[in-house]
Amino acid sequence: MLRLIQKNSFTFFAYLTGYMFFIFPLMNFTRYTTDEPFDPTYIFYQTPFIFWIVLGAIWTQENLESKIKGYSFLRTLPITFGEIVVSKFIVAFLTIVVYEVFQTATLSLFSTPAEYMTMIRSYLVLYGGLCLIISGLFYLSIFKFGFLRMSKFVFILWILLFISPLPIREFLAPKFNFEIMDIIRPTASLNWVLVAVVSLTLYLGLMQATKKLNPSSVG
Amino acid sequence: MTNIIQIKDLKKEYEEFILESISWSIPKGYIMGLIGPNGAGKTTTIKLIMNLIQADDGEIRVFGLDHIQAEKEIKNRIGYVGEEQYFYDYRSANWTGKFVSHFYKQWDMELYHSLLEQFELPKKKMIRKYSKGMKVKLSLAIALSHKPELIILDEPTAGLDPVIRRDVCDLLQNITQDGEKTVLISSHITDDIARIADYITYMIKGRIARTAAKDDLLDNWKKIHFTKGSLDQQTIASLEKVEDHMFGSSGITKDYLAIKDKLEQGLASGDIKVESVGLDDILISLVKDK
Repeated sequence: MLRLIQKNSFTFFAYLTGYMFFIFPLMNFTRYTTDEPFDPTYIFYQTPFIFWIVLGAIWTQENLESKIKGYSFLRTLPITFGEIVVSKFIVAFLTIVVYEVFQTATLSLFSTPAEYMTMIRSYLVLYGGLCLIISGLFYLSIFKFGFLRMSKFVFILWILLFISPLPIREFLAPKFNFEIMDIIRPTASLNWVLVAVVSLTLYLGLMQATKKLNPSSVG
Repeated sequence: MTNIIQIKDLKKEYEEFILESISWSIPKGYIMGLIGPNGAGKTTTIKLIMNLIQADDGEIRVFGLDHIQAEKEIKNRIGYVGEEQYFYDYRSANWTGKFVSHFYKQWDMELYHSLLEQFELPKKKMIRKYSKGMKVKLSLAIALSHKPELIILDEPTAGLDPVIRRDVCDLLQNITQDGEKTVLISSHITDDIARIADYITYMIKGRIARTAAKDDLLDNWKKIHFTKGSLDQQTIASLEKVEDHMFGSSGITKDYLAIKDKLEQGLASGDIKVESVGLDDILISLVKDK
């Protein structure tokens, strides 16, 4: 199992380090170099990157597994279908955890005012939970119908989720007359522990459902 | 005799093919050759044994264990070479060996490397750059390196040159010398099976057409050439595929040992000649029967 997790981690690690050491510093460069007041809306533009990392890694990895028929190889080894599924779910979960820890750690780097801390933390956990559930659904559908059937759907959803802040800021906010802060602010009242528990429970449920699928669908 | 594989009423239905409730067993310590035309169900049966596809009905026991419940334990004791070779082909044989070694309890890295050398496989080259034959050999190296008790090979010699084919056959024969290891080999190349198999199973249109010890099969299936009047009508009626030629007739018997005595006189006078048939001829005859 550990070897499977290790094998599956590479793509996720590549996306994660790409974000942490390239995209994040570039996007937040001005925050370190100017004395402008703290802008909490940065989190609105940062959090969709969790979809870019996790769903992007899932798409990339499953695309490769499908091309080289990796599952057909794995299924001939003393590995159960359940172990293959669990290793995938564990890696996606760990990636989300690392992302959450990274974002939470950077809050202090920005000298985040205390009034925004709860709101931003809840917003992060909400996105983390959402990403967990969508990842679980992706795996369930890929293992159920095969990657080839799901690839376009997964790819489109990945792009849509990742770029979602742009149409909201550019079209929806002006049209319906709301501010980005109006989207973030309500999350302050969310119980982030409850959000984490509910999304994790749903994720585990999706993992169990995937484990029960017919292994023939993946080779 | 202990059976390594025991199949009971196994059924699998596809749109254009049905594996019809087969029951079959493979004795321990022997090489079982599985022969059949394309689409006979050989690969389906092997994939069902390996739990790569799920049966619609029936039971498969390997080493006396349920093949689904004890999948991991069973696969730890099986070496498998599939019809097509799949690997993480952007990796090397070295990486593949290390990766695979974590899943087998009895993986022998020294044996793996010696097999790679024996098969002249470059260890650091990307598998994607291997030829088909090289991939088959890599599959074989992986299948043998954890010292399996049961080796399942689905068309392993297809795509290999005659020299390597002979090496592979010799290797398989050596492996079973101790009587502890069992081999199930399916192949279109009946020459290979004729060389190494102890038992033969013919599979035709999703059914087991015949299972027998190879020697029994070859001892009993003979082609009889006879001149007019040299054979009695009852014996001629028992022959199959009777054909008339310019100098007499010929037909195939499935039970030569039973009619041997009746042929003695004709054999002595030269009116009757007996010719051995190959596994191919038996297959063709069985296919026509169906």
